[in-house]
Amino acid sequence: MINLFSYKIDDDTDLSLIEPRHAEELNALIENNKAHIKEWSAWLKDDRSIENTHAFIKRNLKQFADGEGFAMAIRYRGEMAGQIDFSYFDWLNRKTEIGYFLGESFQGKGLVTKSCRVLIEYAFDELKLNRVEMRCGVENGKSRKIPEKLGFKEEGIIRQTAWLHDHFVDYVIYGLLADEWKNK
Amino acid sequence: MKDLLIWSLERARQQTFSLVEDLQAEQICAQSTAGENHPAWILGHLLLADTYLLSLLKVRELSADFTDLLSKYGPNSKSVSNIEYYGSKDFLVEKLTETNLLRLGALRKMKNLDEPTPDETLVRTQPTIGHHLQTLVFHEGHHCGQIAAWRKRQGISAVKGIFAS
Repeated sequence: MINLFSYKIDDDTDLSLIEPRHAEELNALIENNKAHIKEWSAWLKDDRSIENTHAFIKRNLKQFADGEGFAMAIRYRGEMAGQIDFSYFDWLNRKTEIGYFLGESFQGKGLVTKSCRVLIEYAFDELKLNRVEMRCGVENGKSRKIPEKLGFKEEGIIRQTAWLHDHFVDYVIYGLLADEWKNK
Repeated sequence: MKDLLIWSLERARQQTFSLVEDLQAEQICAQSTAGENHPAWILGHLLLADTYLLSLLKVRELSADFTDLLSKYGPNSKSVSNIEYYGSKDFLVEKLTETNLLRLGALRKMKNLDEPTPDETLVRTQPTIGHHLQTLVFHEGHHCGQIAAWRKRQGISAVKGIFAS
């Protein structure tokens, strides 16, 4: 059974639930990677502060308590490198969506791919969900490689689905079914 | 069973919060008699129980803070009227909000409430995690009763039971 409160992926990488005690660390990660994250994330505003991080963590814990999703820190050699989350759980339709971001200096180490694998296994094996989705900006090549490497199927384009600072962007939707994952 | 436990734990915590919501910061250590359990001690004592539960559920490992919690709020500790000795009401309520959400989330993820309690000292009275959780509902209700009685002795008006509303 996977204990996602604190999960060691390998000697260098682990996942842990984001809690209030991690607020400063998470905030520093976001602040140090603002330009990098902003390129594809609409939630990151220029006037944000640590209060936004505190509010996010509170929402995350409430969501976790209500069984509606949760976010985890990706740690590389003990340092917070990024974040990965189950954005929601749709229990009726037995599906979820995985989202993530990674600090720029931690790219190229396969951290997101490894972390996604753990969450996918957890979704299918522990939670008995049937479908996992990922959405990436059509022109966000780096992000799109993740679901493609993991065997997700490209299912279509959602046109102008997100307002990214000053323009609309199209997203690609990727899907992976439990049977496809098991038969890989 | 799990849903009922979640429901009960959540409401027990709401009841605790409702009993201290209107108290001023300096009131929470007042004692009618020496050694009486006042709200500051009770809130810390519940935090101790949550902290221990989170370690049993493998959410968090026990840290050095636990020793401090144990000495201040453990079953053998004695409550004192010195407000400096305890955390503020806001701090304790915030921590209890956090640990409550963590315990509810952890419980929601649990598959088997019949897993043996990993603590040998609890096995005789609370053989499974389910027994321990049920005990915590009773435990919080017991201490809510203590705060309600404390309020009466302090001349503070009664708080409606949230189970009745």
